[in-house]
Amino acid sequence: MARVFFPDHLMQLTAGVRELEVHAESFRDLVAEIERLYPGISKVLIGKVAVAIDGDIIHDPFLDPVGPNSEVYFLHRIEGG
Amino acid sequence: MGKTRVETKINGEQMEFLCEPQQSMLDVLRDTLGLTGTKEGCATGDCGACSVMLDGRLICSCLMLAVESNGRQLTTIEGISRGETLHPIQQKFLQHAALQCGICTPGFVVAAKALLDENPNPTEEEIRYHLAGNLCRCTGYDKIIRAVQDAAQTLRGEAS
Amino acid sequence: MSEARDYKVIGTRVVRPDGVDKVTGRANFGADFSLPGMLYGKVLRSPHAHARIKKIDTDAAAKIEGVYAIVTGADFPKVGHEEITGGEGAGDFADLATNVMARDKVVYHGHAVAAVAAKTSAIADAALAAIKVDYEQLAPVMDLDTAMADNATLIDERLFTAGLPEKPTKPSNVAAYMEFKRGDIAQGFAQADVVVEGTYRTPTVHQGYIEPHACVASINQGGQATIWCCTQGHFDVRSMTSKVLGMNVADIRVIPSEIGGGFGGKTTIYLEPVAMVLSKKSGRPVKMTMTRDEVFRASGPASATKCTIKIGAKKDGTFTAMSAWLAYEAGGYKGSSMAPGAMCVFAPYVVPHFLIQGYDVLVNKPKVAAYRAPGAPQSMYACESLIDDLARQLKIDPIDLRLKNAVSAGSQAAYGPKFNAVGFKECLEAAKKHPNYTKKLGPNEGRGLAAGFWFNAGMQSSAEVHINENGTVTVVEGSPDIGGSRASMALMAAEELGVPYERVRVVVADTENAGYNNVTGGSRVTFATGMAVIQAAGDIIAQCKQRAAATWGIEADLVDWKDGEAIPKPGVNADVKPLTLAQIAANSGRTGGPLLGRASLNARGAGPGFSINMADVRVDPETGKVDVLRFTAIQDAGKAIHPAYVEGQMQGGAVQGIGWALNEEYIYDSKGVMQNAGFLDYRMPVASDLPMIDTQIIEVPNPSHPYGVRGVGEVPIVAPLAAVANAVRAATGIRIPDLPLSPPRVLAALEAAKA
Repeated sequence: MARVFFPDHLMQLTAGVRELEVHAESFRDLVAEIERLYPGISKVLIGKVAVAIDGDIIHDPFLDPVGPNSEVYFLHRIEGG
Repeated sequence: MGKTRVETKINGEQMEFLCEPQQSMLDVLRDTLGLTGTKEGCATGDCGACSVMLDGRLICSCLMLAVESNGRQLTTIEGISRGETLHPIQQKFLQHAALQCGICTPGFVVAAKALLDENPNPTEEEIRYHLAGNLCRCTGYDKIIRAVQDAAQTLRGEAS
Repeated sequence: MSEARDYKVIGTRVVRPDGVDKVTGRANFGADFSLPGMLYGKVLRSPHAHARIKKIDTDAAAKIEGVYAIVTGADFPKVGHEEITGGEGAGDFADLATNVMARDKVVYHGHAVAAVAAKTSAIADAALAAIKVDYEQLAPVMDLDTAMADNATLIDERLFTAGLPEKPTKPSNVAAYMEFKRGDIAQGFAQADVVVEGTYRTPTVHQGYIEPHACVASINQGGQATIWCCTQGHFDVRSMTSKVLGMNVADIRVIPSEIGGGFGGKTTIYLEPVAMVLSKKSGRPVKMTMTRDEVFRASGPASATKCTIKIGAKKDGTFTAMSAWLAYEAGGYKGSSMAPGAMCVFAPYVVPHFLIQGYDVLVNKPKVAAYRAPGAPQSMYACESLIDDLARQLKIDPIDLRLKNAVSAGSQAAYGPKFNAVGFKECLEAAKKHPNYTKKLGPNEGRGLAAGFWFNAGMQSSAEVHINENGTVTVVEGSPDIGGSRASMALMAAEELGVPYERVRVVVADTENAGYNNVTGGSRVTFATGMAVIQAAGDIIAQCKQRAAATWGIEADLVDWKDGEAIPKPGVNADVKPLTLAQIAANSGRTGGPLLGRASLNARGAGPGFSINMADVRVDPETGKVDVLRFTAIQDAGKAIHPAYVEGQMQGGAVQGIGWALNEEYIYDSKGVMQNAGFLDYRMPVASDLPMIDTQIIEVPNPSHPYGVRGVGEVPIVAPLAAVANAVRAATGIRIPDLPLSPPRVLAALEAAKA
């Protein structure tokens, strides 16, 4: 089960839940599972946030694989200058 | 007001051009004569990107009226290298990675040449004060100073 | 994944391929480009910091001989609210469009209200002077305290603070609130033996690139346009311009010139859409450049901030709790770098309990843009200054205090995920051993130390590798070269292909002949575009193996590639000579066609970067002037592809940070007009201000990159602010929390302390 962590500013969309265990093999499936629990959240999780999967920050993941022990963190996007 | 005809020697070549009396030398170099190697960073004489030599003296071409060049000699960045060969200052800038974006580089090369023409063996402090009129935002000046020191050594005929 | 290996060319200090044109003045920067029939465009800018536009009368201007087009906000389409997903606080397309050309309101002195295209600059200036604008002036809001006060004058009456726990009922100048929490902050402070607190302010500063914004736009009567401009991201210029003007991206070709510095300030658009509309109206190409004055007043500086930090620690130095209250100025439109500032502030440390509260605040100043590690210098300046005071209070060496709490592989980053391998401890250990750490200091001299951090970005890059008929290599990529990246791309291609560096050429292509690339910035080019180049080279190698196999009549999987040649794998029975890249290329027409390798990716696994900076200063007690005597930058680069350019980033960022600490600030009068919009009084460091900048590159490889590369461009600006401030504290015995530590401020503090 992948462990998913929401930053404080997204917890407004998860009824205060910070941490979830989700069964999924790709980021797309992970988001679909989370959407089932919190309808509407996928509009933010896809395209509006960055994601760290097992420590690697990715902008716009979708097909990226998620492993059975993966840790997935949602983050504010960072582009830099 | 009509344009004024000006005759100037630039990089050893006799040139003539027409310009408005209020046009700066920098504007004429770039827009009339197509010598865009000299850059505009501020147009108020604070950044040195427009450095040229007027009768061998280092000046900001943005602070000079083009009409003032009549009958005089200018050296711009385009005149620093000779034919196929880069000037040692240019070679050392490349070797020492003394440029990152490169916009200030023409000004620094001209300013460095003006320094070494006058003082072939400057101390680090002398180099820094002489080049204080040239702004660089990318390099922090370290490698520029080292390049000029190395170029000075080469020009003095000493082994690097 | 990266493994220790002997590199043939990686790590050597080659001369960059675009160098000769840059030292001879041949390289073309943004303002160096011209087209026949070109007009000159100029912008009319608001004389007021905050006002409603009642009427614009362009009749007199239009009558001037040589004026070909005049535009105002009415000539630009209305753009709907849509978030610019360009990264931290990048903002909203509606705001971007209005920033480019004001509609009903101006929100900073210098805001564009009209533009003209004329035969000469002088005629354009005369036309601007003839445009009459009626303004209804409003009270300017010029600082955080004023903007955040109850009953503050509102800059956008329809703006309600986003992110508050309860939906607000009244509009506000606070555009957004964000919180980051871990553990129980009250408990964390209760566990502490010592609690320290400080409030720090940093001013509005500018990236200070020497090249002003410049472009030439040419649109034909069929709506097909070309823009030549200096930019860090030509694909972003294309997408942003298309949004602002309601155009199809396919109709806009953006050709990037060489760029004379950006540092984040050239990742957005200002002149380009205006030049386009002028070109459309006039039917001619239009050139626009900013004066230095306009660059300061009307591009995108970095946020002024107010940061309050509180740290709780045990007697032995273990941090128990940290809190941060961070307010960042966004300028006239929302979208500061508050979020990354909040994510970075405690990033180097293991902190069991923290609370970070951030505010994005509107003020009547130009809309901020990114500036090298956006947000981090300001918040980390505050935290690193306070840690310095804590070390003094606990009587613990500042390196040891940081080592005690330093993150390493497996630590939970303050912004969420666990770190993979990172080099913070290695930087600290290197600082401890560095000879500069123990050099003797004289009277009025002091040494300060601080840590720096930046995430570093991945994102999208594309690259192609073409093999020419003589076996030389052309790499085609789309990342404008700000700091020598062409050299690094050539080194990586040469290393992968096993050919000498001199056989490789690198081209930065435009939006029509490069594959899509995200911006040059975010410390991402060596990492992400480099990865695309490595993969494209790998594609070539795969093709070469196939061509060799076909030539030899064996299976492709029996072929190896070594040192630029195809050879049969060891043990394969084939009586053949190796085939070089040149030979395969010469024969490529017969074996399947030209050799063309390609790769495109959304790079993941960018390695976070850490640094430690040490500054030695002397403070003149009579004038308050601070001289930097010695500066040491230590940074983890993962793997330095070209060490001289890595050092260059470290030195350049250090000096920008020194300027931010000591002299740089936007000075405003009571009407909200900047008083020092030029290089004379916006005082950036010059060569005579500085010593050599000593550098030490640490290499803790990034496990997610084939060579271990970490981005290096942004980290260098973060630590110098506190390193210098801590040195001033050590030299004077006084903590001066507000930047810059310019002579008047330092002198006032010295005199107040004497009293």
